[in-house]
Amino acid sequence: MTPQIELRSDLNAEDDDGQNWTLLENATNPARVHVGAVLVAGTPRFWSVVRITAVDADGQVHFVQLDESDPAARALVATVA
Amino acid sequence: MPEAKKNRLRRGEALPEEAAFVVRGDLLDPAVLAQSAQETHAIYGFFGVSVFAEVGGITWDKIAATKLRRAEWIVLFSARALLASGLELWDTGQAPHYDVVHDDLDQLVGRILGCEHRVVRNPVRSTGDAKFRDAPDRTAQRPQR
Repeated sequence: MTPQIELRSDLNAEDDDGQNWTLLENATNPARVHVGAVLVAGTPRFWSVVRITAVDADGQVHFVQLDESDPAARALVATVA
Repeated sequence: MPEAKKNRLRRGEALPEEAAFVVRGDLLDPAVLAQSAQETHAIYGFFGVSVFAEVGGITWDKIAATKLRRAEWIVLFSARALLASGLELWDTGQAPHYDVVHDDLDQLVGRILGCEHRVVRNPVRSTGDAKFRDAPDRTAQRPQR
């Protein structure tokens, strides 16, 4: 089952530090996108639970994918499954 | 879209070997490719689509099992085929990340879609004999260089 994508992104895309990134305008609810937030990012076919690491003034959002065994990822998936 | 504000880090490495696989997670979707290229342009000022390449001893299946572990499907190009299609490979960010680049957005997406490639199920998301099973419309065999 694919959960609702809260932050549309191309999970191939990496920034200069090797983290994934997208644009804040791709968020269904930009207020949810802040450092430390855990949410679902990607596309309906290629998605991951991620943790936001930075939100830049130009709208670039940086994040890391959480391992499927990460408690935060498991908790989020459990709520949307 | 915000205006380009950031310089993209280039590693200054030689191009991948021509026979190296260049991989991208998920099926090729023109809309996703175009969106991603536009977003790269908005932040970094060039039209680029993110991929990973076999460089520094990292193989495509290792990339699939790590950076692309959440992708059900993996698209495999050869570096040779991409370059022969009139596309550039920029060594952006941290190895093995690259951007496939062209000055024109439509040309970028069209040339990627038209470039010879194979689609395989991500080995890390497969089990047993299903390993390296191709997409339904593709011949089932392990990709050859």
